[in-house]
Amino acid sequence: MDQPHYEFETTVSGHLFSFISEGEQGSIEKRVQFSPMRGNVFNLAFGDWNELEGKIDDMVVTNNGDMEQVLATVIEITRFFLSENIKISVFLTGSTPARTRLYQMIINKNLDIIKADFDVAASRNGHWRSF
Amino acid sequence: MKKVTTPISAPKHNPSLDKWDGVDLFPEKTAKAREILAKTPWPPRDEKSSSI
Repeated sequence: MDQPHYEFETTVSGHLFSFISEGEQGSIEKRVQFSPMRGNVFNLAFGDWNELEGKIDDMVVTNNGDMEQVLATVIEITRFFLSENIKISVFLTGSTPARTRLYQMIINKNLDIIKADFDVAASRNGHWRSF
Repeated sequence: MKKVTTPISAPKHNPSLDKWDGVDLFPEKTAKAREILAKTPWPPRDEKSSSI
């Protein structure tokens, strides 16, 4: 990606990733998890890590001023995950319509670079179409 | 136009994360994904590469 990204860490399985967002609100741990669905499809979940509850929260509005760098990091993590698991496909959706729209815009903005590595499809009203 | 693939960054292993391996850290999102995928069968993939 053209956008700089944060360094990230992972587990033995390589299905869970962590990185630190540094910005106006301080240091905030983000986590990205790939969970198996059916077949070779994995769901991508990401958000702020809530250590107290032991879960990822993607409804929180962090306002750390580094959204593009955070999303560039998620894209880089996805690139790594798919490069390590070449038979796998990744599914993602936003937690709200606005976030789904945001992710769609980011994919469109980086489409040439993403498509150099991956096939990209979007689902609307139950039908898939290529990006 | 020739496509150029940029190098992929490799992460470090963080042993303190391992206790969360295999734990669904976002069950609501996982359930939502399962619901969507049940209604929308996954498209046939092009075998040339991975997909997203």
